[in-house]
Amino acid sequence: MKLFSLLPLLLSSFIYASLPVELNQLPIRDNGRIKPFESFASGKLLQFSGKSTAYSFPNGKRTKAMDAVEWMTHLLFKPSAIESLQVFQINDPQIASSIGLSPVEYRSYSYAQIDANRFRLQELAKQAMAIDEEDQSGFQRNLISLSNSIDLYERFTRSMEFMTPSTAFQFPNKELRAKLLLAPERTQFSYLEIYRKAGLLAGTLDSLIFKKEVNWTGLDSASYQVSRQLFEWTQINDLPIPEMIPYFHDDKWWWLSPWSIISNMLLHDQVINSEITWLSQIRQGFLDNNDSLLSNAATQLRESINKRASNPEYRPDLLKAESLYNRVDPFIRAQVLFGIALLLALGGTLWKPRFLQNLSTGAILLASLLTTFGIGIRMFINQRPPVTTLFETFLFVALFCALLGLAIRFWKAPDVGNLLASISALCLLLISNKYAAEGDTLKVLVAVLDSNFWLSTHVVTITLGYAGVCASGVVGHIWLIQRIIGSKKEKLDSTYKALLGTLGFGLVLSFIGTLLGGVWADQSWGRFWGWDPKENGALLIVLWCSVLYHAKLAGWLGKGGMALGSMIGIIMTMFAWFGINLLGVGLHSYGFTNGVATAFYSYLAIQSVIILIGWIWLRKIGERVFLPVKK
Amino acid sequence: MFPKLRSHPLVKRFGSFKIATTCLLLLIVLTFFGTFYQIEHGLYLAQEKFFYSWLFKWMLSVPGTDFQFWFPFPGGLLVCTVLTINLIVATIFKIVWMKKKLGVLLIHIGLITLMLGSGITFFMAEESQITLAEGSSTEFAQSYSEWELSVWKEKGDSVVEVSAFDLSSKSPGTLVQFSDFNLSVDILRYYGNSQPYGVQPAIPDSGYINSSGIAMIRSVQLRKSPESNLPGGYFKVKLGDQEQTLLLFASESRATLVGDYAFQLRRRRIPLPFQITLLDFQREMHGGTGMAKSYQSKVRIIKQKEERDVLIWMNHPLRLDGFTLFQSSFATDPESGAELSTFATVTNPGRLIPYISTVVSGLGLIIHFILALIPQLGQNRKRKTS
Repeated sequence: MKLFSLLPLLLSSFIYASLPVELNQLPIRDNGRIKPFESFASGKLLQFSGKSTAYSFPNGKRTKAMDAVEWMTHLLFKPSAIESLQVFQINDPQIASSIGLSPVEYRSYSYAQIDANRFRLQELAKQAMAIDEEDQSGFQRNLISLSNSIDLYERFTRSMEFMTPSTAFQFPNKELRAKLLLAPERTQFSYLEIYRKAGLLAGTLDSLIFKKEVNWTGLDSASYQVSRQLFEWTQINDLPIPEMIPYFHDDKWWWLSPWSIISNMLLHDQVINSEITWLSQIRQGFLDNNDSLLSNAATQLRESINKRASNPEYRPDLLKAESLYNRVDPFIRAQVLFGIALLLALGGTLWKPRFLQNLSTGAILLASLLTTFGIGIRMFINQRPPVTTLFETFLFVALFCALLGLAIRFWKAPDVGNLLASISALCLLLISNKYAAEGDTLKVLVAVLDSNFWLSTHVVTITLGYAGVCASGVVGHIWLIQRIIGSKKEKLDSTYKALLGTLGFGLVLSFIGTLLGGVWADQSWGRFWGWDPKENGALLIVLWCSVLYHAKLAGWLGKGGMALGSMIGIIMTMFAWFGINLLGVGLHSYGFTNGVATAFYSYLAIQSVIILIGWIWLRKIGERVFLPVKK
Repeated sequence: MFPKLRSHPLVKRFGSFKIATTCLLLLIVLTFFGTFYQIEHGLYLAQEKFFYSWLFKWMLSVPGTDFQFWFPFPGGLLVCTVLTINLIVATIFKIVWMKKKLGVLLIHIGLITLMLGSGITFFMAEESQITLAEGSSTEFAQSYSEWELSVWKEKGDSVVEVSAFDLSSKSPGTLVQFSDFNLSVDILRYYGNSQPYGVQPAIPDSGYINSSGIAMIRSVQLRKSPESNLPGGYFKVKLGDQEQTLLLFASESRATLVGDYAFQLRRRRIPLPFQITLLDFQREMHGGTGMAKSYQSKVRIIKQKEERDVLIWMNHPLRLDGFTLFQSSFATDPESGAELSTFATVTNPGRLIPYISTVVSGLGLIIHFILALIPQLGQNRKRKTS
C-alpha cells in the first residue's frame, strides 16, 4: 500500500515553468503534425542541442539556463538575448575546427560564435551539398545538417519581425504622422502597425496615379515611400514558419505562418485579425515581463483557434493528451523505477530474499504500469497502433520483457523474474532515450507504413518476438552466473526452464512475425520475400533459434550450450532490430540515428567476451557446452 | 508415418538432424554475408551471387596485400533444395505422427509448402512495370532490365507486323534471322550499359546511321541496379542485297529506318490481357512537408467485353487475370509537368502459397508452444515460493 502513495507524487511532475503554462498548449504545425507549443519548442531545442533544456557553461560547468518553452519564446521575440547561449551541439571536433571554432569540452556553441564564422560554414556546406547524397561522408552530412540548423534558427528569429518596431518605419514627415494617426512620442513603428493603418493612405496613393512625379508634395513622396517599404518587406521577409494560424480554403485546412497570413491579405478577416493581435500581446507580455497579459492572450488565442478550426486533423483533446504526456514523462520515471527494482532484486539475492524481492516486484509493477500508460497515451495521441517507429519498439519490448519477467516471477522463480524484468526494461528504455534525441518521437509516417492493420499485426508480433529472444538471453546470463556460483539444482532447473520458455515464446512470435512481414510485403510490393536487409535480420533470428532447438533435440547441445546460444540470440536480435538500420541500405532504411552505432559495437564486444569466458569457465567446472555427436 | 521405414539408411541419411542443422547454419552464413555484400554492390548482385545460385566463388583478400583467393560455397538454391528434401523426408518418416506432435508436424508441413512455393515463384514469377501519364493508356508492361531489338514494317501510318528479339542473353557476333521479313541482323557490338555522344555537324560517311543524332556510343560500367542500365549497340542489317549498319541506343524516341523497316532498341514488352488507362492520379502530402502521405491512381481497365474503373493505391493492388498491379511510385515530367504514375506489375502462379504456409506454420507454432507450456505451469500448484 505504501507504494501506491508514491503514485500521485510520481504522476504530478514538478517542472519549474518560468513562463505561464497557457503558452505550452498553443497549437503549432511542424513537419506535418499539429502539436502543442511545448513539444514544438523541446523538439527544436533537441534538434539543435541534443537536450530538451537549454544550458549555459559558466567556467566550464554546465548549469540550466532556461527550459525549452522559454528558449523558443526568446528565439521568436527576443533572439538577441540568447545569441550567446550555447545551444548548437557539434559533436565532431573536426567540424568545429573546420569552420574556425576552437573545440571545447562540452561541444556546444552559441549562434553568435557560429555566425562569426558564417562564411566558412556556408562554403563548406555548399561543397558538401554538391556531392550525391549516397556518396556523402558522415562529416559532410553533419556539416550540412549544421548549416541547415543555423538557417532554421535564423528564420525563426525573423519570423516575428513584423511585430518589432524597426528603423525602416520611421516618419520624419509631420503631415504623414498626422495622417496615420501615429503617437507623437514614438520614433519607430512595426510593419504590422503601419500595415494596419495603410488604408488611411488609400486616398493619397490613388491620387498619385494621375499626378506627375514632379508635382508630388512632401506628403505624396513620404506616402509612396511607406507603401513601397511595406511591399518590399513582404517580398523579402515572407516566411512560412511557424505554422500557427489555421485557414480554411480549397476544401482543406491550411496552417499558415503570421507572415503568410499578412502576405495573403487575410487580416481582413476579423477573427484572424484578433488572433494576430493576441499574438502581439503575447510578445508584449513577454518583453514587459507581464505574465497576466501573456497568459490571457495565449488562452484567448488558443480558444479562438480551437473554436473555429477543430477538425479531424486538428483535435484539441489530442494536444491536451500530449501535454499530459509531456508532464508525466512516463518513460524517464519508469527507468528510475526499473533501476530501483534492479538494485532491490540484486540485494534480494544476497539477503532478506522474500522482502526485497517483493519490494522489487512492486517497483516493477509500478514501472510497467507507467510504461503501459505511456504507450497507451501515445496510441491515443497518434491514433495508431502501439508500435509504429523504431523508438516505440524499444518501449514495447521493454514492457514485454518486464511482463515476461513478472510471469516468471509469479510462476516460481522470483529472483530470476525480477532480475529479468528490471535489467531488460532498464537497458531498453535507456537505449530508447537515444532515439528520442531525434526531436519529435510522435512524427507522421511515410506512405508505406500507413496501414493500421499491418502495423498492428506484423510489427507487434515481431516486436514481441524480439522481446522473447532478448528475455531468453538475459535468463541465459542468469543461468550462467547461477551455474558458476553453484546454485541448487532445483533453482538451476527452474531457471533453465524459464530460458526454454522465453526462447520458445520468442521463436514462435518471430517466426509468425516474419511470415506476416512477407505477407505484408506481398500486398505492398508484389513479392513475399526479397532478401531485404530487414527481412534477412528477422530470418537470422528465426534460423538461429531453430538451430538451437534442433541441436538440443539431436543431443548435441548441453544446457551450457543453450545458455550461451541464447546470448548469441540477443546479438542476432540487436542486429536485426537496429544493426540493419545502421547499414543504411534497402527498403527498410527509415531509422537513422547517431550514437547508436557506438553503443551497438560496444555491446557486441562485451557480449562476445562474456560468451567466451562463459564457455571456458563452464568447461572447467565440467558443464558440457557441446555434447558428443552420437553415431 | 511408415514406422518401419524410419531406420532405412536413406531416410536416416536424408532426414537427419545433421543435414537440417548444417543447412540452417549455411543459410545463416549466406544471409549474414549477403546482407553486407548489398551495401557495396546493391541488392540485385547480392541476390544473384548468394541466394539465387547453386554454387559460387567466395572471394577473400588478405588485408594489406593484393593477394586474393576464393573457395567454392553453396548458394541459396542448393541449400534450400537440400533443406526441402530433408524436411520432406523428416516430416514423412522421422517425426512420429501422434497428437503430441501435432504442432511440430504442422510447422514442418507449412515450411515444406513455403519452400515449394518459393521454388515456383523463383522459376515462374515475372516482375515488370507500367508508367502512365494522366490520360494515356497501354497494353504492355515493360521489363525492368531486359531489352529487345524490335523490328517492324511501316506501311503508311499504320504499323504492321512487329517482331522482337530479346537481347538479354545474346552476345556480339550473333546473327539473327527475322524470317518474316526476309532480313537478318548481325550484332556487331552490344553494351549492357552505354553513354551516347552527339556531334554537330554529323560525321559524314561514318558508315552507320542513327535517327536521334547520336554519333557514337561508349560502353560504361554496369550500374548496381540493372534497371538503371541503358544499353546500346551497332547492328548490321542485311536486307536482300542491301547492307546497312545501325547505331541504336536505349529507348530512343524515334526508330531508325532501313527502307520500309523500322528498328528500335527498347525495354522488353510484356503483353497484358487488357488495356489500362490512367484516368487520374492524386497525391496527398503531409501538410507543409515534402513527404507523401498517400497517393492513388484511378485507372480504367478495358478487356474484350468489359470496361471498368478501379482505384489502385498503397497496400491495395489490383489483381486481374494473373497480373497484380501495385501503386509503386510517381513522378512529374520535368518538361510537360504531367503527373506520371508507376505501377509494379507481377505475375506469380505461386502467389498464394506463402499465405497458406503462414497459416499452417503459425497454427503449428502456437499449438506446439501451448502443448509444451501447459505441463510446466501445473508445477506451480505443487510448490510454494521459498
